[in-house]
Amino acid sequence: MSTNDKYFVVVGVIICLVIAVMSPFLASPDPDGLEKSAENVGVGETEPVIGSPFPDYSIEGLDQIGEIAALAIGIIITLIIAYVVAMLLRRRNPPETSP
Amino acid sequence: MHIPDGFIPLWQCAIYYVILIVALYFSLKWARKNLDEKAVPLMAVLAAGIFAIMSMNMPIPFGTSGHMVGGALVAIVFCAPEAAVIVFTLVLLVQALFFGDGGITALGANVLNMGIVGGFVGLYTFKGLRKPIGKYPAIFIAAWLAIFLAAELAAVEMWLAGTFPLVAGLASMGIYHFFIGIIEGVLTVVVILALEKLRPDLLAWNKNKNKDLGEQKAEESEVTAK
Repeated sequence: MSTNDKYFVVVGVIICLVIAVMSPFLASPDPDGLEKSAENVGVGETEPVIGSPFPDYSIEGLDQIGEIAALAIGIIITLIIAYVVAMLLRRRNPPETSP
Repeated sequence: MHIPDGFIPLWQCAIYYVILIVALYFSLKWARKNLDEKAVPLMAVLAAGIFAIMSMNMPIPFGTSGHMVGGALVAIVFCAPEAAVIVFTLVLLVQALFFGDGGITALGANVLNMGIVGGFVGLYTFKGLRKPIGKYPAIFIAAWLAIFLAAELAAVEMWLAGTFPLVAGLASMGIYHFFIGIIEGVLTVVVILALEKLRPDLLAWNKNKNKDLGEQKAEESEVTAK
């Protein structure tokens, strides 16, 4: 990775973490478009098929701090998985020069 | 717009998984041919950013909220809907497995709506409107339309699943995502403006016209480095 790209990743992660710190306080608690539509037509909530370690982006027993931590963990996991997968999928050879 | 488990019967979920596998096949082929090593950090940061921004629900009218999704953003930045398919498969998988957001059984449907439809509608609307109305208005409309049509498709899926009645579902999803689309459009424009300003080399639309110049420069610098 070039210095420029490292800088880009660091700035990107900082922006993500700032969002993670703000969103437990600023994000609207109202249901989203799909949940509200489900309410409108009288469909209740359903249980997830698999249990998840941080249901609803929260950590049990911790309020906002837990939400921030859960989001930060999610951001880092997503960053690493996407980086590794993109490295595995990327083009290996330089593009063929067009004739 | 994350469809949870239990809203779609399993046999229909299987159909959406088949669509996902086909889309991933083409996306992997695209990546092998077009995904530069230089674009890897961009893809990783966009995925993390989409994960983060999805937590920031903003209020819209009718006691409802909505967040940016970003399908059009990824597709426009890479000039490839395939990139959106890859990013959304990963982000939605992380959300379903670790955070219980969007069902794991509904993963195929969720990637179809947000990644495949979001990416295709976003990119091709942008391409079609770019010349007549200008780059940034085209991005706004492309992002708005991407999320609006993704939501309406979700309503149709809910109808096929027997969960929502067709008209009420289309109307609800349409009205809410009309407003959520405005958030989507504004933020998509902001992110692309920022990239254009700070790292124009990362935007695919700058690559073709810079290619000859850029490669020449790269060769020259390699030569001087030696």
